[in-house]
Amino acid sequence: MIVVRDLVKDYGDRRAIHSLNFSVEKGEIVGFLGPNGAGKSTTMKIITGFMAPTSGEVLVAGDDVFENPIKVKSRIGYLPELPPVYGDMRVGDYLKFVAELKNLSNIKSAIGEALDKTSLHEVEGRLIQNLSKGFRQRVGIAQALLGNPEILILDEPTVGLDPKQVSEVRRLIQSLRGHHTMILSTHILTEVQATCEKVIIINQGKIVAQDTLSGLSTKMVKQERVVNLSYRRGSDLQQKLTSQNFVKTVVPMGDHLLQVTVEDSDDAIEGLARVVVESGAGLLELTSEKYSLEDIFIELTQSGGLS
Amino acid sequence: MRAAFVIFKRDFLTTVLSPLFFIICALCGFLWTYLFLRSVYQFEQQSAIAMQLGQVANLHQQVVMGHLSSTHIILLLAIPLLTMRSLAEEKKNRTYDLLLTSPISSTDIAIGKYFACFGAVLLLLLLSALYPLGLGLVADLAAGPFMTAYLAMILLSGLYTAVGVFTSACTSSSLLSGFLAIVFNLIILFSGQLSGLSDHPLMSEVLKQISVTIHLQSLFSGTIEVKSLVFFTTVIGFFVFLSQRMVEASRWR
Repeated sequence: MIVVRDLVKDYGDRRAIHSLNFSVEKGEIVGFLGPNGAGKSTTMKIITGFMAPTSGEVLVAGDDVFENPIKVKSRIGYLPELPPVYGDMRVGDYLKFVAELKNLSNIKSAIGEALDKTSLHEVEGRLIQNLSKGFRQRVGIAQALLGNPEILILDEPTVGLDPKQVSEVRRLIQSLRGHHTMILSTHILTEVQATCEKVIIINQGKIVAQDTLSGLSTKMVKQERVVNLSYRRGSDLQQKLTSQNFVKTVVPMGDHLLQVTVEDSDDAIEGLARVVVESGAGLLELTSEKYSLEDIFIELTQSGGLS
Repeated sequence: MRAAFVIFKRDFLTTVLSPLFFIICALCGFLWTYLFLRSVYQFEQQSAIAMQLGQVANLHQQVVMGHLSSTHIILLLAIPLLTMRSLAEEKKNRTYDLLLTSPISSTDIAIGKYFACFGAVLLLLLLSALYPLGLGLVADLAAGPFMTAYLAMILLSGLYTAVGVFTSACTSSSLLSGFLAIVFNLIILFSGQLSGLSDHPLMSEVLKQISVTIHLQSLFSGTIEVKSLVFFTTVIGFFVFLSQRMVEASRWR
């Protein structure tokens, strides 16, 4: 659906993105992840035709963004970093204006649908400048959803929303799954875990990883597992564990708390549990730390930064 | 063109309903009332003297023309105030992102923006026309010269509006845009004065023809010349074209 080839963008002497290559299939939800200033917004602006790349091309459903701009743009709903709203308009009038710009055939029902999805009916008649940041962000999302575009490009859609609204927006994105091809950028990792199927991690203008969430985790798995132990009594547990051959390190984390690194196998975990129970230390908790997206992210962006 | 109309509609309404427009109208109204009443009063005195000498004073020449030259100076400053926010504000509020990513062309944006401002300027011009029209109710006003004079004012305002929209397309600061527009307007107004600087007859003639002054004079005197109409429409078209290029160019930076 979206193909990005050798995309380069320079801002004066500074190269913002270095030959990006990726593609997004129809119906996929892709998370665009990266630290601040990585080039996420720039890439999105180029895909939507807001700005032109220095070199490279973007194809949306087979059409080049700069050769067929009108055709491509009518397929895309875009929410920029800052919601593009006019403070001196009412929410309803604003959506009507956007619907007219998009040349939608049934404006009234399109607006109703967008208001439903973003639950904005209560503020329809209010001036946008009097709305809170979260509501404005929702007006921005409603604007992008107008007319059910095939492709949705959302630049940090949950910024400025309160926790309840954040979960609402995530639920909204989930509900749009399958109907739209979506790219959403964020630097919030849980958001990607909650909503996306595929992740593109970008750092300093380069793609450092692109894969499905599970694919990324398997790639990054090391040959060891970290287990946190909490127990009730006894002081010799640490020595007992160290003497086991499957245990690599034991680090005391506090009173009756240990962090144990073991071989990456279920047998090792089972063995560990058995040793603790047999020692009579009174096991309270045993948790195996998962290799989270956060670790992957930090690892990738740091190693990318060093190279 | 459909999209240009959509932009025109929104922009025109926000412009004429904005407090700024009301303030400009109020200030202009205040100035015009004062200046117009003063010139009517002076005309009254002069026509009394002229009658004693057996002459007839010219209402059009003395009152209407005086009103038009004050209108001209006021518009020179008021139009940039109306146009300065046109595109600069969009850039500042990031609503420019919406326009540039909507399925519309930059030509639509430039034309819609231009006519929205021009519509507001025409309302202001209508306000200024109320004074001589009001006078026409009680005095014998020459309709022909009055209409050609206002045609000249419409064309002139159209030109200043095109300049203002262009400077607004150049920057994201409304203030800078307004200031630039006033400077441009003054250059266009006074370029005729430069014609005396050149010895070369051709050069001097070119400078004279690109100044608005000579075209205004013929229209104010009641003559509609094709070259004046061509001059105004070309310059307006040129600046609208430049605005369109600026909108398009913003994608390439």
